[in-house]
Amino acid sequence: MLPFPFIDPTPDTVNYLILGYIFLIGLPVLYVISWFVRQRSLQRDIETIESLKADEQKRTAKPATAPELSAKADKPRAS
Amino acid sequence: MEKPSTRLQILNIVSAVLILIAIGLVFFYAPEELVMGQVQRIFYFHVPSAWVGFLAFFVTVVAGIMYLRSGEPFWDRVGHSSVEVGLLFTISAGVAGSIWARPIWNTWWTWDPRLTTYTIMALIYIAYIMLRQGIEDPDRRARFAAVYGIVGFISVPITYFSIMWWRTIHPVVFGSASENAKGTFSMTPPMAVTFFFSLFAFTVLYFCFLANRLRLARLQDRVEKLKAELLAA
Repeated sequence: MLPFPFIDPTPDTVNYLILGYIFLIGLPVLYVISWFVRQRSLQRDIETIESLKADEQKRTAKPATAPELSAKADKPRAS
Repeated sequence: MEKPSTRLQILNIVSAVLILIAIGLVFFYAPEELVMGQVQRIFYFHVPSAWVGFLAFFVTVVAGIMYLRSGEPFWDRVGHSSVEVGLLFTISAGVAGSIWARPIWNTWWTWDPRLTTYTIMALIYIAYIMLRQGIEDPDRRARFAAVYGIVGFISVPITYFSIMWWRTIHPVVFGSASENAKGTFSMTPPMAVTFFFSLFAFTVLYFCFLANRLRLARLQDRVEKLKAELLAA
């Protein structure tokens, strides 16, 4: 369609519109993705801490069984 | 981590649907503005994004006051999560505004009162996040953050009223614009419907993001507690 004389046609600003909406929609989407990444990393942290705790408990539990072990070692052999 | 509650799942779905409808209205219902062209459509998401930023920082004030009164870690989590969500929308509104300004003001950036106060406001809340990361003790961190969140909010009304207090080229949608304003337009009824719907959709989206971010914050607190227990053992 030919523009009406003496009237400025509406400028073509579609590229700026697309760029603007890439940021307006893209940034929140990236933020939501970041939750999943952080959540996975935190869950891995929890697993690591819990396994470390379990190891620690095992290590602290060992001295309690030590006298039993030494008692066994003191017993004379049947043969 | 426990599954999201039914209420949160409903909120997630409702928010997604509202945003999809808003996108539909922006691109297929609102008419093209004849002076600015298609780029004017940025306005429908730019203003609601900035509004969500302001709302989020206000929620941080409320959370800060509640934390100082009760000492409940929940309110610290609310304040922190709200700042993070608010910053996201503040930055996205700022970037989109800059993109809109390029064809309308013929520049990406200018030291206009609104733009300058807006940037200072964003920097204040970026500093909030940095301040939190710099303090190890959770109680001390929560107290500092609560006070900072309350004091930092002063930047929000200054930013909002800057277009009325000083000569600015930033357009004013509601109220009288400065004579220097460039990019002002009068809204037709379909434009107003699209704008107010987007404003509503973004408000719901904010609460959805806040609720989801709070779940993550709870998990972060759990990890922090477990680490402290391990170190104490």
